[in-house]
Amino acid sequence: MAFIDEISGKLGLAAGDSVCGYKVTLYGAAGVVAEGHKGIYYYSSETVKVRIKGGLIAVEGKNLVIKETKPDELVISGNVNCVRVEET
Amino acid sequence: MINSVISIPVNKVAAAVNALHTCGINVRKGRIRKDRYYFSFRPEYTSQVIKIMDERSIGYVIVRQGGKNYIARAAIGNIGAIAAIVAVIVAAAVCYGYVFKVDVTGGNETEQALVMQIIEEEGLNKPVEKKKLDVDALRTRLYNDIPSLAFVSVKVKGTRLKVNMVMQHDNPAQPAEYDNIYAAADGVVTRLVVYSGTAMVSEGQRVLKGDLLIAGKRVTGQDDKGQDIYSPCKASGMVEALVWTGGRKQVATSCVTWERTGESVSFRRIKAFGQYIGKDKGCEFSSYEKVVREINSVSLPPFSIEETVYYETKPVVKEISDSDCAVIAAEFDAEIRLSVKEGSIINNTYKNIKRLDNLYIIDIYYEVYTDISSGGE
Repeated sequence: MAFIDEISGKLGLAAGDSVCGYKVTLYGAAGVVAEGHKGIYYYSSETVKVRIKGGLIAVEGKNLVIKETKPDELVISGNVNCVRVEET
Repeated sequence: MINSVISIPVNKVAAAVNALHTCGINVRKGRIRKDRYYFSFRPEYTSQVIKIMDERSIGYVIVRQGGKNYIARAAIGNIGAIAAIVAVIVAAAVCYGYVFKVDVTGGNETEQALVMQIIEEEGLNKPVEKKKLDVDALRTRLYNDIPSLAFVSVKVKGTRLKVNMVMQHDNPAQPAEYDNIYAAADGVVTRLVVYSGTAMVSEGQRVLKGDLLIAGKRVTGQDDKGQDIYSPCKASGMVEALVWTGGRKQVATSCVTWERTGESVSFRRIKAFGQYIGKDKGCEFSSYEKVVREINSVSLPPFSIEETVYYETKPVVKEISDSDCAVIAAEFDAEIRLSVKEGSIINNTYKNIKRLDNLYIIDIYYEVYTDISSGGE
């Protein structure tokens, strides 16, 4: 377990609330899990932009699909090429 | 639980997912098929999701409506199959309370036939309710009526009564006791063993059927004149003699047999609960051979399909050849061998087949050492 996760767990904080307010986990090139998101800004099969605190996360690739949403999580599957943080 | 599934245009995904996310509705199993985005959600949110889509003018298609509605619709759509399954389950449950068939294993054909006869006498050849079936009583009766039975297992399995027998063939023979022992056949006495009583013949003596061999009396003393005094007792013993058994058979050189012409009529009937469904259609042949065979059988529920075949037959005059006569002689030989008492030793045989103008004469005789003692009944 990472140091940040361990501290967050001990403080009883969700991943999105800790440190910077969001967390993006990349599972190889197969998918992305974004925790602490604020909604979807843009969706196409090549690009998915997810709102976060203070900006956007841009996931680029091919055949991107929003697989699942939960109150605090968003699962995007497909061939991910790039994950980029865009500050506004 | 069956989730609801709807599809929306791909260009409305962001708007739809954001709206659902705002309302706390989770999207599951998202996938894309030809410019449309399909996703699942819990069935209780169906009306809420539809309302959200309508408010935002998102063109949606309900692919599957889950929850109670789905189950109700599926039930109505398959009402026939459900009714059939329920009927089969009910029939199976009812049938399970009955025994329809009896399987007998172990022992030889004669012993199995005897068991079947006892079972018929007990009324178990017809469908019987399991509650009324007294397995212990049947087992006790089998032990009582079949002395050579070493062990019998009587079990109800499904809708069948299974009887498995183990016979006791090596039962040591107890010497039988009679008032007097007489000769059961003509012969020459070769060995004499007296367990009880007084021997009336000696070894090497020729006896005829019915002669007294061992008298039911024994010497208990002598009188004043030196004569033996006898007192009655049971006669018991073994008298082995050399006897001749066999016979003569006459076979005509031609005979009439019935052969199948090749024409046949067949039909099938269902046998359910021991009763036939449908009638025996019969045939139009003047002479026929009827064959009934079971082609499919299931234990639960107890249905079976039986095929009845009527074969047309015609009379054929057949000439008996020497080889045919040899076969008949072999069958006759087997019959005579069966009449030879078990435990006898065959000392010599005589077989002769003589052909006359329109007749075969078959003579078969056996010379055997056998026990000829009998109670004289």
